[in-house]
Amino acid sequence: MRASSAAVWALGLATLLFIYAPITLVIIYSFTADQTMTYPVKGWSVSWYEAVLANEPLHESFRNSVIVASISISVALLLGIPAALALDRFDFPGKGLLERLLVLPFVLPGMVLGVAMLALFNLAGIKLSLITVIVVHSTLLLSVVILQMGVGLKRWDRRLEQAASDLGANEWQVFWHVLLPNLRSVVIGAVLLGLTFSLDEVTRTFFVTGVDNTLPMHIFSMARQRISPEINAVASLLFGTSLLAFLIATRVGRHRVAER
Amino acid sequence: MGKVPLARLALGAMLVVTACGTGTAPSAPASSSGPAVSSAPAATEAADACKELHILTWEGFTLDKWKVPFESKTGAKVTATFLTSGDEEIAKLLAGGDLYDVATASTDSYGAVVKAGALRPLDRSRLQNVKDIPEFLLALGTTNDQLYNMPWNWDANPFLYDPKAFPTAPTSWDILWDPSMKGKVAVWDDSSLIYIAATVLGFDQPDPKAVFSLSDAQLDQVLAKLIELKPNIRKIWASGGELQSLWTNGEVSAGLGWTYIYNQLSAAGVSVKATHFARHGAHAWMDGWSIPKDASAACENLAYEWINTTTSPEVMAQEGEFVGYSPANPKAKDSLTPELVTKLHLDDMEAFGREITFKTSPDRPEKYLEILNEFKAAAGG
Amino acid sequence: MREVYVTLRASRRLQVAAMLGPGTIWILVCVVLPGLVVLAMSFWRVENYRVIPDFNLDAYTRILTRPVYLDTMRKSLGIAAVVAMLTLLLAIPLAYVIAFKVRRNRALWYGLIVMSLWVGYLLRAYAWRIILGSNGILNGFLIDIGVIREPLTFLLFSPFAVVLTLTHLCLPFALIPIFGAMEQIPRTLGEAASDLGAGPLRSFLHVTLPMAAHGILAGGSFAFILSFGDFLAPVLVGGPDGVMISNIAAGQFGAALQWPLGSAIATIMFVIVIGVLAAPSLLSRWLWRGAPRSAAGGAVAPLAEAK
Repeated sequence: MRASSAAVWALGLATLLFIYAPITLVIIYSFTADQTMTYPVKGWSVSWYEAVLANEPLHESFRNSVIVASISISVALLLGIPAALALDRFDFPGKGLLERLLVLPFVLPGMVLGVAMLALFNLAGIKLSLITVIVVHSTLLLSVVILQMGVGLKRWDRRLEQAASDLGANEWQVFWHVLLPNLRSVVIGAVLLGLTFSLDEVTRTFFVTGVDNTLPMHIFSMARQRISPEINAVASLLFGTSLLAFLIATRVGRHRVAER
Repeated sequence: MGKVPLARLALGAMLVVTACGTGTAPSAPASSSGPAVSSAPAATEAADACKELHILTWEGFTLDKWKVPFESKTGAKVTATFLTSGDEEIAKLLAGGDLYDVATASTDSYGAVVKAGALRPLDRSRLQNVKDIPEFLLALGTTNDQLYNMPWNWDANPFLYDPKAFPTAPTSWDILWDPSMKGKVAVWDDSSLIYIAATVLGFDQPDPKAVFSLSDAQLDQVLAKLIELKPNIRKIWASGGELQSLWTNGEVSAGLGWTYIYNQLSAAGVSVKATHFARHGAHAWMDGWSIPKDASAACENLAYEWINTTTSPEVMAQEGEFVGYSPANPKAKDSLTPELVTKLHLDDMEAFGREITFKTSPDRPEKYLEILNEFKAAAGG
Repeated sequence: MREVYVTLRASRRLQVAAMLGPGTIWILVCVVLPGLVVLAMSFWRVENYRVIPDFNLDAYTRILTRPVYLDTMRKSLGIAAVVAMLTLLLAIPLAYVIAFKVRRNRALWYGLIVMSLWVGYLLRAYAWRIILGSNGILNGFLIDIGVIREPLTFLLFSPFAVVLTLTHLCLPFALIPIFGAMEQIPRTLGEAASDLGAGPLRSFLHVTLPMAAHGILAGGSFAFILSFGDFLAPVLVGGPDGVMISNIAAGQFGAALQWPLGSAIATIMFVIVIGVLAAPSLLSRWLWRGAPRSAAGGAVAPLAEAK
């Protein structure tokens, strides 16, 4: 028993290492002085971070990304929460097909969706811009929100709602005062996941970008152009920011009522 | 559902790479929203009505050296979008071009672009330096007695090689196919690759320009030859930066290159040399400034000002010194050292111009691109 | 006593329509309609840089007659299959460890996995670019410690690099549904199995695996689809031999201006992807006849249990 258990542990840890080693190396090498990143490291410097902080076009792309992500997640929540609720509670002909359709933007390869949207935009004479990017992101995030809400709703115990209505609350009151507060963490989870996907999106965005770039598109340009520790610095900053956001979110989340 | 301008669609799908070091904004071109209505340029509009000049060009053409003074003099911001190949240029310019105020037209794409009517005729009276440009360069940018492309610089793309791997300099493109070059060749994602294979197959004899009108049978031979090259190819690059990375990181030791990149690599101490073969083939080009037909009227004055500034002897000398392509304005030699003047052929422009073969648009660009794409997709022979 | 569905009464229909309507319309306009446009465009042709809506089968004929397209399709399917298998081989043990062997802080471990996604898809692929180069970190390290004298060139710009990078990219995505499925297996089953004399391997093969099957299939098919449709990894770390069908399709929308051809390839890719999506539910229905999980939701729901 011990041997096989040790083997499984070893394999598991090796996999974890495989997942994290590249990212760790990227972060370490963001501090190298030499532009060609090789082993051993010849000198250390923070100049690449300075370059990132001075890179105006990069900041502009980041601002664009934030705008796109915020609007897209809002649209996704507005359309997705009611849809998820309806799918969870009601049955109707064609429901299976609809569920599959709603999930498609997430599961389809980015290229297929991106190319299709590009074709549509052009046939409709719509000029490519941040708006077309927002449309695509909203579509993707709608899928994500519905999926996440679906999971959360399945775990939700409906008896609380029944109890509330037994005590005299009408449907709207049940929704607003019982269901929504307890779904808050699910919604927050959906929002975080959606924002992550939007801020990382390249494969779909690639085809519908206009003159204004999002951050990942800009990074893609940079990465294709030149291998430089400046990109490493961007990666480290992104990772650090996400880590910070996660810590803040979990601290806030701890005050929420668990729904299990 | 009428005809949908394909190039407009293509514009939307282009990914544009840009440099980060020179502080220019990256952008991917957008497709326009309908058939372009060309408005008559309002020559009386003040230059400061235009706050941002969008330029479609190659890397190195908007160096801070002349961009920053231009920006402070005119109060406008210059944003550049960088091209990766001549083929991309055609697609971008054909999509109506209302995104760009100034575009660099290269000889590769000039023919196709002018034929499609995508460029605005230039008004010679507004071009301060046009009288100094040699006739043979102006001719490359003129169609039906109308100037569309104001010459800016020109060069014959060299063959780059690592002297450590070649004790004696190579003498022809055949070297790329040599078995000893396995996994060491860098290849540009551009029609020039077809011309290289055509040269090796002998299609450039007796007329070097024959490579621009290859038959289907010849193109199939070119494809087969290129597939034979695959085992030797380390990477197919699509931007100057990528080429530079490949050489800097020691990934390759031979291949077609750009003089500008070569200059950067030499300055950084990378082991690389440049050379031109006797039967070099069609790798010379001239780049110039042109104005897309649908460019905004508000920015036209500024566009002309950009062209005039960059074709002035002072900026042309800077171009020669810091980018390294031959300037189109011979007056640049007044500010350059004798070595540079010779290197840039500023004292023998006509003679050098006769020696080289300029890359022009093939007569069937779509077919050439098709072959190129099939080569890229094919498995190594 | 959970009332799952309420069958629609007339008074409800309006409410349901209002709740589902906007989302459905969005999906119809932004997913179904574009799909139809692409399908239509695959039957048109290009002339003088313009798309002419003139029905023809040229694009599909090209794909079937010029060998390069089917060859690349086959190669991409092969790479996707290899990546999916490697991903599962690595993901299943790790998911198993976190689900069953970790006593405390399981959420932390799981969080670690999800956190690795934050750096971004692109930057994780870029990481391999700097690691695998001839002058890169790995070669530098191996030369420094004396294991090799010349850099290993097959590491970068090769199908090896593409497979390695894609596996790395897909791992967290596959782990999530597999872990989700394993997490829901009651511990008591494993204990019962060992009480009955089954060793750890048998217990794993006959109890854990079948019960986590839907999660494994979901993870594997997601890894497959992700790899099949990816064009970033080949661009960043792929060499002349690493070109995938997605690159060819994407390229048709660029300088090549061959939209009908690109649309045709995209349509074929779509059909393949739908096939792969449908396969797990059909497969699990066949392999584990009478499995308690609903087939339709099985492929997708576990994947949704991210975070």
